[in-house]
Amino acid sequence: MKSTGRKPGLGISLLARLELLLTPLFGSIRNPFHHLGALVVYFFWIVLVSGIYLLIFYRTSLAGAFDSVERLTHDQWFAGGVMRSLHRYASDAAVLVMGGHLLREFLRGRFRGVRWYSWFTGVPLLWIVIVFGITGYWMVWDQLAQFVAVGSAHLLDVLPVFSDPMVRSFLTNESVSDRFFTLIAFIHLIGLPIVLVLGIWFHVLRIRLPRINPPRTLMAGSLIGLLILSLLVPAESHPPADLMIVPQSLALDWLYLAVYPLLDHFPERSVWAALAGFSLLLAALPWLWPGRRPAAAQVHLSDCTGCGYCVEDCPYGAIDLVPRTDGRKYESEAKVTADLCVACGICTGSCPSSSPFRRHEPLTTGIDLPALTMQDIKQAIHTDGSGTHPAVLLVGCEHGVPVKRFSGPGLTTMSLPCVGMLPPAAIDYALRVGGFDGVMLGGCAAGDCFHRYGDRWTRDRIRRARPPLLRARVPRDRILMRRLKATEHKRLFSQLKAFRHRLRQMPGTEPGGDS
Amino acid sequence: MIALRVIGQTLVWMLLLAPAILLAQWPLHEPLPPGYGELRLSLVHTTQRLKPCRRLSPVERQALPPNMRKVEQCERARAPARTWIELAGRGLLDATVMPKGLHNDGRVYLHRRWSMPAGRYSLVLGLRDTPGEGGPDHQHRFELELKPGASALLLVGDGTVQLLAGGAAGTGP
Ligand code: HEM
Repeated sequence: MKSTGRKPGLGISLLARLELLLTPLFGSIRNPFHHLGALVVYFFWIVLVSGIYLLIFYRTSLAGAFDSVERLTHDQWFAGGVMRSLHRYASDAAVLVMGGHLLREFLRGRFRGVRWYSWFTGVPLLWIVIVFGITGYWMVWDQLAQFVAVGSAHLLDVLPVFSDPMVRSFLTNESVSDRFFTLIAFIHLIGLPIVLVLGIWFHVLRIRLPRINPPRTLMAGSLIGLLILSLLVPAESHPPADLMIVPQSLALDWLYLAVYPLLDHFPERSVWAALAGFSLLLAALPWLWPGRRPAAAQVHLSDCTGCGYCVEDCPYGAIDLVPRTDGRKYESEAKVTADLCVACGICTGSCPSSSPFRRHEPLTTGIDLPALTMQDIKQAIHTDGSGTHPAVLLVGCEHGVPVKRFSGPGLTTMSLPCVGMLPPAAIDYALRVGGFDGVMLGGCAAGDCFHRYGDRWTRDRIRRARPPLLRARVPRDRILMRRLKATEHKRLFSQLKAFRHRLRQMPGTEPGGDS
Repeated sequence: MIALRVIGQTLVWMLLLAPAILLAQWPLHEPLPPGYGELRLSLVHTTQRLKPCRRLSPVERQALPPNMRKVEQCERARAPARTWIELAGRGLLDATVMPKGLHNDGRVYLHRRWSMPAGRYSLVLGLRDTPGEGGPDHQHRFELELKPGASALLLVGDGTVQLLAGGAAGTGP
């Protein structure tokens, strides 16, 4: 048995290597890298709770703001001080993790095709979050706040927004307007939280069962980490704002405020042009670099009973049940919205009609992919004819270890868009009719299915926890599921060898050579 | 074993979060090089009309509806403002700015800032706010004592010109 063939791309390989560093400690399902979007949401929860505490002591006025924050930081360092640090650092963690989330989705190519929606709605979130941070720093009214306020005024004044330039509000300490300050506080405390919640809701609107909350261990671990860091490096203010001086040295938050130092070197208009250009480029990426778009799933009414399993399993909500149109006795039928379908094939795996045991030719099912029909799947389930035992059917996906790299007598490989496409009946068929001694399922790392949930649904169908159930008669020890990252090809190889070894020992496995 | 795992995970979290906490305050940013100060200009000025207002003759007034019989007829557009600043004998600014408004009938706004080494400077401000080409209609001379880290402010309004030296001590001239 050998392995050759195409390796995963450099970006994917580096990402996988980095992420695998954490798997031994956290496990694959709880690997923090697999939950970046949910972690951003979680950090905002910490920001919200700590923010509510700060608000109890904060004075929303120009005269009172600085002193109230100072008192909070020093007079009750053990509570207010820690809450302030948590508030600041959780916000920074959110930006850092959001950057990781963006980069990860980019490297995995999940901005393309029908996924454009999540990508496109992610771009405004970037700016909502940044403005959130800017207004937060503003509210302390220390020298950093002054730097931010003056910089923002210069930036906004080149836009045709205000008839009276905003810089006039920040000329002298006397000219600073209390009302303007209250407006900023209002934006930070009420406006932006609402916009952010709406933004996140829009962002995950087309995702079914979005993972909004990370696993509990990740919540606990990151909170403890943040708490310790908050105690070690408490967040502090700069000296109070004084518009008649230029702050000498600022501990700038580069994650939120990096745009302001640019104003020392470039005109405001160039900074706006760069920001707008970057955002537009990012937002237009799905169309600038579209990639190949596979055809959407198709429903075959002759085999569809309207059971709704595919609706339940589709990770992108691309299937609906609609009233029956062909006059058969069923109430409803499945209908695919092509613009939402990522062509993962998980619906084929969930359709009770997807059974290779059925005899009609060509074999059809309730729902499958034009590029990979149920007939194609059935045809692929046959041994290589070498008579080598144990014969193993190795099923992989397009995003896990490329199984086509493995070859050898007794080994048949099948690569699906997602392992979730494999109907449980196909496993039964491979073992009973196909002449295989074992079926091994590869696929993406646990908790990190490219198409979301394909690995989990397959596991649950085998465990008879989710319909369609794998029949109880199928010997589970002849099935092995190993969910690994695309680079873990050696691991899959050794697990495959060990599996074949185990199969060889089992009664009922026909004797035969192995290579 | 579980305790080890919890400690390990916490340590890893601290490692993962450390870049966020670091970037939240480091590297330090110095808006001005050491020993530098800043001069700001805030000009908010109403310039003269491009054409003077004309008194309407009684006949012209009579031709108007009774509730709109004004004494003078004025064109809205105002002249651009040309501003010069000379610092220590060298030209720092020579800018011509149009009045705001669709019909150029608003005020002229000009806001600029320059950083420069602290020290004593002679500052000359020139302003032309009447139509046509030519030199300044108003000229003002100041001695600027710019302290390191100070943010001086040259305030030009309608009929008032003021230089505030800035600095931590206060806003006095
Ligand atoms: C406040 C900031 C953000 C939050 C809270 C957030 C949160 C989330 C969540 C919870 C998911 C669903 C994850 C899942 O269930 O698999 C998701 C998916 C996604 N996010 Fe974000 N995100 C944010 C910003 C961004 C940004 C800036 C981008 C890129 C421009 C982005 C791109 C994506 C993409 C492409 C997906 C969909 C992946 C798929 O099709 O399955 N997100 N995000």
